Amino acid sequence: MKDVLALSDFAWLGSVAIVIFVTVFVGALIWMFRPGSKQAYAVRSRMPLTDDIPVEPLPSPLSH
Amino acid sequence: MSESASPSTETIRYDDAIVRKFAYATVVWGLVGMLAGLLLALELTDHRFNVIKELAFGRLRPLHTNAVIFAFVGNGMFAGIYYSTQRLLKTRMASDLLSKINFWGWQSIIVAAAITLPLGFTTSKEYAELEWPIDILIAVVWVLFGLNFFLTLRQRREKHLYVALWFYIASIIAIAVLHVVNSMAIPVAALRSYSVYAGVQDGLVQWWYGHNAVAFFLTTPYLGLMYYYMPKAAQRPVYSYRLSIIHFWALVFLYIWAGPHHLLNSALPDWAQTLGTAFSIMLLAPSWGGMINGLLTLRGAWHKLRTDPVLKFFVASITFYGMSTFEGPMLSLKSVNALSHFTNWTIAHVHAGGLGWNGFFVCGMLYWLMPRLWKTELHSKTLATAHFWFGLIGIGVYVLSMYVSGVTEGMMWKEFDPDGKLIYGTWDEMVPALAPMYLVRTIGGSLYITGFLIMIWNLFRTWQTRAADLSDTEVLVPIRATLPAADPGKSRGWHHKLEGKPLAFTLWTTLAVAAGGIFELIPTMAIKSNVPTIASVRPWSPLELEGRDIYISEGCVSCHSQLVRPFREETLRYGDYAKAGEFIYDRPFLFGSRRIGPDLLRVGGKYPDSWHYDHLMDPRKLSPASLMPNYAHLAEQPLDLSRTSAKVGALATMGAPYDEDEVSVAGDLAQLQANDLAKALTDQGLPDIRDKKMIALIAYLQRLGRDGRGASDEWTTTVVVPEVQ
Repeated sequence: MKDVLALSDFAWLGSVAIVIFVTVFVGALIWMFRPGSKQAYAVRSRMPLTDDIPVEPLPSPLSH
Repeated sequence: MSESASPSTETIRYDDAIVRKFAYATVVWGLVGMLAGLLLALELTDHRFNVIKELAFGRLRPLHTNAVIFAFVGNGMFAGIYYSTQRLLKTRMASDLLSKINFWGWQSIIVAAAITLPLGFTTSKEYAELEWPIDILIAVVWVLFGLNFFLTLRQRREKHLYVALWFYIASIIAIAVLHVVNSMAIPVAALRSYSVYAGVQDGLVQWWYGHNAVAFFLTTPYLGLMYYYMPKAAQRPVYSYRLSIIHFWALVFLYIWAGPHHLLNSALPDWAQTLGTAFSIMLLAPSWGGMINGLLTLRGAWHKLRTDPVLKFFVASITFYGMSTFEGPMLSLKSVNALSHFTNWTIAHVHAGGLGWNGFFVCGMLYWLMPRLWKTELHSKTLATAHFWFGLIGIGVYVLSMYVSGVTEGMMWKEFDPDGKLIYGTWDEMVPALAPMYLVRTIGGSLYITGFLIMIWNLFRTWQTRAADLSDTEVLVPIRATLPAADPGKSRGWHHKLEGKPLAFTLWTTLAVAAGGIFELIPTMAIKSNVPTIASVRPWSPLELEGRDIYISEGCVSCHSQLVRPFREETLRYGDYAKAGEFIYDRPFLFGSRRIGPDLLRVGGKYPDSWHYDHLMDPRKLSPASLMPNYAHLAEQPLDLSRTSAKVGALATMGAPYDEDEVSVAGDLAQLQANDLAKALTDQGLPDIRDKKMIALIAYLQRLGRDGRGASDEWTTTVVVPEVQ
């Protein structure tokens, strides 16, 4: 694949794609471990155990 | 839905009846699929188990895979999704009618498969064998299931979509796309069609589908079920919700790219093979992230594992998932694949996943679910535990025997003597070496089925103690009108917001799922140099085309590949390695995925016509150790040439260079060729089979691989075709 890409006019796309993928992945990791998020995740991780009680308010009316 | 005593609450009823229906179907089809597997195992221990032609190995294998994947695991998936979706969204399914159509439509598809596959109506594309009318029915039923699911999302009482639901969304979207794209075909008869893709392009599309059917039918929905039922059974929250976010997005993005690892060392363009390998290796990370998340959900509750059979099944299931998803990337390495591909190693791999991951999860889920749906207690935990051990030992025996078998045959294929000659020159010398492992595999499968039968008995006894009133579960929830609006001042992350917007979530999921397909399939289709043409490669003659259809109908591809890999041991044994340009008229492609018998790509002209006649009548006459069923019935069944013109015309429409005259008199041309071949046979004292199916099959076999023989590499545009022997 490297050989094919090297011959292409769009060889630079491979490098761009790697930068984008790594940035998104690292960004998502940082975002998930942001301060103050632990409680929200703790609530959500219990959803199967509390599935007879709504844990979040719904907007009204539902439009999506 | 009814108003309760409090004006701020209302009572809703979950549709439990649909869950029960799917659960019953899971048990019934599971037994059918496993018994089909047992018969297949017996057929490989002794060819005499191929008692009737409809259940001979070639026709039974797709029935087994379809029954286990779509009937057993599929019905289990629906049962689990219908139960958990309603509870996670705090609402009944949007439409009982759509739920019923989903159930009865899916069972109709299974029954149609159970009838058509043994009768030989098949596309031959693995896990997509069903012919076009059934494909249309699958698409309709799946879309209606998706519609019901998304309408239920719309009327939910819980804003936040729990992680299990993300996996369900990805599965619904991906399977719809995969099924429609891979099933594109031109019908030539009520139950016969030709793929719109040809050769390596068809191979790439098929394994893009085949790999991702495993991903989005056997894996992602079950990961969703894991995220719901594991916490339920353990009474513990999910280990890490953060990890589940990474797990989900990484998995759905990476999985779709890995399909080409099923075609390593093949005629597929090298860049596509490398891409498949690279993404397969990357898949290890999210797969193990999911496994760790599932297993660590038991943190603080491991002691329950001693006494709770449900947790035993779940933990073993998730462990098998981890083992399979480690093994998968390893098998995607070209060097490992060179040994494992076409051998029983692959059979071991898929059964570790099928019996271990899916089978055990379904059983654990049924043990958890059925007593609740029947409003009673499980009849016997002891029996459930016995089932677990029978199943676990059964899987171990099955999988280990197939590992030994796979490595044994892979090594035998490659073994040279000091003079550089193949030690095992004929297939007959290798078949007996596998016989003990085939027997052990049968024992392992029998143990697993014994466990399953124990479960059926246990569930039956549980059912006998069911509550008199099996009406739907009622729950009290706040009515929508009284639910407070979201706090506008509360800060929410982007993913949190996304999880509250099913439409946007679905669109992003679709984008993640589609990316791999777009970047792999379109270049392979659009860039001509990916499939260099070979001038001498011509389309099949009308009779050969009929023979090819018979080859497909009998399921020959279940045991014989048509893909010589570029290895010395293969080119010595079979002839020139396969080139992409050789397959441009192959609709569908017939590379195969297993070599129970030898590769047939270059069998054309290797033996005289009379050899093929004798071999089809009784394979043991020429190969005493052969496991192949007798195909004597092909010398009795009439050759139907009434659709030959339509078939040739369909291929001409898709670019095969037949002229109009050839199309219009294709049936006559086929008969002329049949007459010539049959006369040569009768001259040798054999019966006249000019109007029988066997003559077409012999014509096809004798043409195989001749056109591309002698082409030195992918870029050769002219080749010298050797004289026919």
